[in-house]
Amino acid sequence: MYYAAPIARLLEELERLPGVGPKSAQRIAYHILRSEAEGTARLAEALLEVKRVIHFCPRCFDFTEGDLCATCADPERDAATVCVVEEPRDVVAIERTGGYRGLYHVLGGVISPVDGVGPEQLRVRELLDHIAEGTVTEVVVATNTTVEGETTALYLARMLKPLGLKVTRIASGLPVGGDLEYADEVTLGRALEARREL
Amino acid sequence: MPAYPLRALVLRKTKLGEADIIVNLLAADGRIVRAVAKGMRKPTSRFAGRLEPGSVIDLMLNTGRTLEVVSDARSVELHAALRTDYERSCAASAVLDVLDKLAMEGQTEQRLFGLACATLDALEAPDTAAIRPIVTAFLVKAMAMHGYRPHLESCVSCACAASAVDRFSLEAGGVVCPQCGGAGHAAPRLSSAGRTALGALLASTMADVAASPLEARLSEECFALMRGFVAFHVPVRIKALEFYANGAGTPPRPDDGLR
Repeated sequence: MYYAAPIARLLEELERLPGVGPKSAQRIAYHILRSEAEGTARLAEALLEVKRVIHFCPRCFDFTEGDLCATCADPERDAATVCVVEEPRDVVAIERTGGYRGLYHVLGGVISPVDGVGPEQLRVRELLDHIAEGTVTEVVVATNTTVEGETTALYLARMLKPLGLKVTRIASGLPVGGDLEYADEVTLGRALEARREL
Repeated sequence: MPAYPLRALVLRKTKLGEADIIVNLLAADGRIVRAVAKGMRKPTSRFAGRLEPGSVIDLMLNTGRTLEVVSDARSVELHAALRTDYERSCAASAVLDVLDKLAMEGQTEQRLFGLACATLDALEAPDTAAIRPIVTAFLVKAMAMHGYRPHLESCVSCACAASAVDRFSLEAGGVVCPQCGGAGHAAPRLSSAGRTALGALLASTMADVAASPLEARLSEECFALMRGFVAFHVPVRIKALEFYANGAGTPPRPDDGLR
């Protein structure tokens, strides 16, 4: 035993966190041990509070503190457009653009046959319930451009188009500031497909 | 250790850390190779689009401590049509998952790579009725390469004439006559037409299967049998094959869930 039991326990818990290996866990643990008691108490309280007060928004399934999330509760948002994303962190990424004014729906994953994840493990039914309210006219599918993300997009399109909804897919292409010569064929091909008139 | 080239088919991706990916590859010589592609989940990655499951690529790999490290990737055949159709995408996932579970690290089966490429090429064929027979043909051929070639010519136990056999023993790996094979889930019924169709799938090229698909009833009978055969002999669960077999290729009716 290299560590006192409480330190070993802390290291064990820290190593459970994503992206934290033994060395990072040790660095964080020693930082906590060296820092003031008030700072550590604030960290502990923040961890407890986030678990205590944060829950899923019953409408879009993003994380929220209140009954509805800020987006769903905002009457200024365009209720006719719903952007479907994989995870709550994707909502943050799209909100950062400042260019989208509609609502969201968080699926909670993507269809991944190799992992045994099908549509029934995702919040597809809840999306249908939202659409059934009658205000939605367009669904923007913003899943990742991986095989799983594309499969999920195809599934949603096949299900939603017969309902008379406009189903759109976010464009994929060159990253801003990227060099054309380093782009792969798929990305460049899609960029050419989705070209726009100037 | 210097970098070395490798032609391979991407079977599976697993997230690693913040932005890296571990890719399971079926090399052209039939080996399974696992490699790390660093920074592949970032939009600026140079080869993220090439390392998607189902793509055949030319890689440059460096030998790492436990896994190889991808230093460059060029696409050979991306099988892009498989990503534009839901049923084809699910069928391709099943094929790739079977390959991932059948091929073993450190063992080589050169024919698997050719079979995999031919299957994915055939799945891009425009006729959707051919998808099920192509997957079935892949299963029967892959199992044959794995050492489990179904015996269809005569009873696998007593070698009596083919006309007397009406069941397929999953355990024995061939058709059985009523005297040798008992009823039950380990010896499902196989019609005479189904037996002929299975033999034809085994003997045909993937392009031929795609060009003249089986009748739907026969196709389902052969697929169900081969799915059971694979499940009986491969000791791990092949989730994508189960997903495909359980009708995940069919989205719900448009009004499902709407009040």
